[in-house]
Amino acid sequence: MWKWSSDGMYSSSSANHIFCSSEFRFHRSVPSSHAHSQQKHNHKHKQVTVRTHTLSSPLLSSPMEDEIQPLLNPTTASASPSVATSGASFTALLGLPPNRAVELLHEPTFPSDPALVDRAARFSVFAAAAAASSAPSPEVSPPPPPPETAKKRKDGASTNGKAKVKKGKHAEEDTDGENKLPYVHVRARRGQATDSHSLAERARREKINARMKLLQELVPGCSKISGTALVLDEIINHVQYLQRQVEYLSMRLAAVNPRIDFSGLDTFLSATTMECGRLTIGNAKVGTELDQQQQQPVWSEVGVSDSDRMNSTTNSKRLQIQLQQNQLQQFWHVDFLNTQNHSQPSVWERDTVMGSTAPHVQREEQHSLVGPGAVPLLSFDRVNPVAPPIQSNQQLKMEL
Amino acid sequence: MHVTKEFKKKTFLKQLLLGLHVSNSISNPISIQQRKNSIKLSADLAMAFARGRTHWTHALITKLGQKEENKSTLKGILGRRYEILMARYSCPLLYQKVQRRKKSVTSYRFSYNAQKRRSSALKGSCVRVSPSVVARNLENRRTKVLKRLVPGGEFLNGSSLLSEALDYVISLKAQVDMMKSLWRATQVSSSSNVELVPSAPLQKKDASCTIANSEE
Repeated sequence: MWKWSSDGMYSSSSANHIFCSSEFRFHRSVPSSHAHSQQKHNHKHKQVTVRTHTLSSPLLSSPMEDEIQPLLNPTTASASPSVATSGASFTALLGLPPNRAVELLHEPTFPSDPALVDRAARFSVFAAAAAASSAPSPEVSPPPPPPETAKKRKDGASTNGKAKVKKGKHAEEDTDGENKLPYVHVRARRGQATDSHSLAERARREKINARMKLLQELVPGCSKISGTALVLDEIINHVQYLQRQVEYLSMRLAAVNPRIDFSGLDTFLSATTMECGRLTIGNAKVGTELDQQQQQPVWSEVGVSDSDRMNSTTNSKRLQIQLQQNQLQQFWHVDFLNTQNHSQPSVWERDTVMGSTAPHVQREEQHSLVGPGAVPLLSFDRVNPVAPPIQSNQQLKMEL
Repeated sequence: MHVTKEFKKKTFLKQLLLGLHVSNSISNPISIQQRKNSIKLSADLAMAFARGRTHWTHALITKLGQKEENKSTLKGILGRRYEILMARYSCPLLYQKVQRRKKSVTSYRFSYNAQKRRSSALKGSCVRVSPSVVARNLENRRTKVLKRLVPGGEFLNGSSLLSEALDYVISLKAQVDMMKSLWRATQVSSSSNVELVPSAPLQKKDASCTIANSEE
């Protein structure tokens, strides 16, 4: 229990202590400097509000994001991973794409860019050095002797002379790179209950709302819906849809499977680099698979990812000619990413292992048909050791 | 998503193919159902393995490891960690609940609506259901359904459930993408061996393109 007598504020009880530490458990990673940077950009120099809508606009502004981005990149783990527990930190996440946010949620380290840390230090209550000088007055308070405990400051109606008290939470951070501080620093809103329980409630609710927003962004078509239950509904539908898709795709792959002989997998696992994947085809003189032909239109009626397959078929028409010319084993690269329209560039290449020369993942390239020994057009970032020397007829049993 | 999950996709693919290899080499599954199950198993395990340490991955792996027929594939994919995981999470009682049959949302909603209708019909206008109560009920039901969907979600609550669901959705999307790509790859390899390619499916390209785009 801490007494901050100089401020005239009283320390929270140990209950808040527990609450803060429990909050800490969930979001270890989001640095408190989010809140600080937001404060910095908040022109009125008020504390960061917990309310999401007020934060959304500054969050989406590009200088904010530019600043957030280096904050988010975990440079070193030396500085304390301060815990920003709820609203402020999560609304910081809202400006980011959801996957980044998820990364952040699981990121255990704290960015310790010294410039940002310095800036954050000015706002930090625990900053020993320059806190008193530069930080805004209501936030500055003399640091408690041991840096571990944080507190919630509760202002009653009388709030340092401010007409409008905003409730802000900014996690304490230790700028000297000491251990993490698991507490939040809360100022109560005017007219709201300053009870510790209600504050905890509010923090929990803010957390949940922030996560709901992330989910909303992730699930397509959810951003227009308002209301928790409907959004949950959409999320559930989406999860079920994805699970059904997995089942369906596995069924499709199961049908394909007899053609693919995975025996050569090990050799390919060793032979492939991390950037390129390969498919080997065996001798190209395969008798036509009438079953397969018949099956393809059947699958196309059912399938969702047919666009890709159609592309493959169109491309393969042209590729066949080349294939028949080359009786040797061929390797080609397959673009494994979801390049939407022209997705099957193929490269003809002899038995060499080609490193990926092309830049990364999301390139879409037209395939050009060249003779054997041509340079790879595409590389993708997957290891695809799907082996198969695709034998001829005997492996092409199709089952429906 | 591509950028962030790139690295994971590599591991996923490797694991998936490893699993497929293992499952193929072990037994010669005759029926397509068996093969489908083994593929799905490999895919799920690979996804869980590639994702790393989260609650749902552990739950998924443990749940899949409970069944006897999956153990060999599990061993193949996980390797050493299989033993560790099995030792650590060897409480089958917890996960028996998870293996209930999943109800669909629609049937749930239907039953809920029917219930409400019945209750209101019986009591007439005496039922004072305040909107907040209704909302809370709806939310509770949805949460229950979500708990069943997300592996290991039965034991989470509130925000942690939502975060696990978020993670799970991302991984599922990645898994679907990977399997689609694998499918495409097999298609390319197979269709290149075919003389004649049917042109009829090409007309469906536009329709399916939009579907694919929307889901991507």
